[in-house]
Amino acid sequence: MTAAEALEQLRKDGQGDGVELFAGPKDAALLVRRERVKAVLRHLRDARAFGCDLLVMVTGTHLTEKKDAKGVLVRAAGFEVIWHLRSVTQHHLLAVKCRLPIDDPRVDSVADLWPAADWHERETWDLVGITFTGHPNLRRILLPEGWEGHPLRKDYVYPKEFGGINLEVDAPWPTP
Amino acid sequence: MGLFERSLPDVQLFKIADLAVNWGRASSLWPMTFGIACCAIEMMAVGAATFDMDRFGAGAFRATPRQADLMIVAGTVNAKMALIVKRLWDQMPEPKYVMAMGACTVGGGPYWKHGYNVVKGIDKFVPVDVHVPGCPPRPEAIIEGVRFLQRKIMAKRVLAKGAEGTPDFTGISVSPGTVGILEPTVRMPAPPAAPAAEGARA
Ligand code: SF4
Repeated sequence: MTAAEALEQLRKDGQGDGVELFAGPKDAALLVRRERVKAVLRHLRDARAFGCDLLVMVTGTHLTEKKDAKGVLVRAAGFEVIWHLRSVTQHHLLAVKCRLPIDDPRVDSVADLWPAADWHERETWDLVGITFTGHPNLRRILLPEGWEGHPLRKDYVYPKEFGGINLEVDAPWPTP
Repeated sequence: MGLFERSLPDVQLFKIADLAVNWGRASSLWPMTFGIACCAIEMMAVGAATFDMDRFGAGAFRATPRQADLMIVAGTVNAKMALIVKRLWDQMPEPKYVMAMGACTVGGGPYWKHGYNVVKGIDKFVPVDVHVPGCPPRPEAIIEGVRFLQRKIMAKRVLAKGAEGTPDFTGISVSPGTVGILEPTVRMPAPPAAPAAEGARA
């Protein structure tokens, strides 16, 4: 099932509201409006036609502003959350995306739909700083407690020390 | 050596005693079983039959810092793990030695530039006796590191006063068989110029 077919099926099921096709450079995906994320993902899991019983991963990206050659804004700065779903019974893979504004990166948690989402959402929050509302236990998973900031953001400033441990580089890289 | 630590006169008798103590320490280095990342695989290879670190008296890997003399830090140390490495080092009884194994522990390695969470060299929080570079170092390199550490231990003063690093065993006749692999007249190479960050290492 391709993303276009999935969109068609979603519209047929009456769930096509707020969903559009995202034509990426390689694979197409479904781009879902933020308010509709949970309902659409629930439908993808439960509907027989989709049967996406396995959540492969949840991840996030920090998107910077992009302008074309003439200086026209192509893409505003923001965040993107990506869910990869797989149907074990029907052998297809679907990617679902959601764009979030830069000043309010907040989306519904799906940890109650797939338990696997629990740690993935914690990781996404830890590294990119996207808040998943309704997550049972949203705290750091990879970085130590008390860490400041979210390292995979483009504007992240590397820390100089943590817990008394010096994290600085002694000497600059030697130039050949 | 407790009360007498480097306080006795620098006479032949105590030099021989030092030699005996150092020989004991150098010939039974017990490393700690503590692998952090990919380098640990090479460390395991060193302990296994092909390379067999037991030939050099350093093959008894202990699973507790209380019984270990040598901490081989094998792998990427990040900020979260650095606190634990530091605690393990604190728990080891004296005399204790640290080997920084691999590019990661020597200076950050592949994570030198973009490792927001990686400590750029473990000598920022524990005193390192021997650095073994490589990513990962070959088992022979680790054995070389252990041999180097053993030579370094042989050059230490335990009971007698005197400058360390320049052992003077002239006049002491010890047959090579007595000290096993270690030549009694070995001299340490001159230490390199002190790095700028010396104060931060204490
Ligand atoms: S030095 Fe290389 S092999 Fe060793 S822990 Fe670092 S990345 Fe892994």
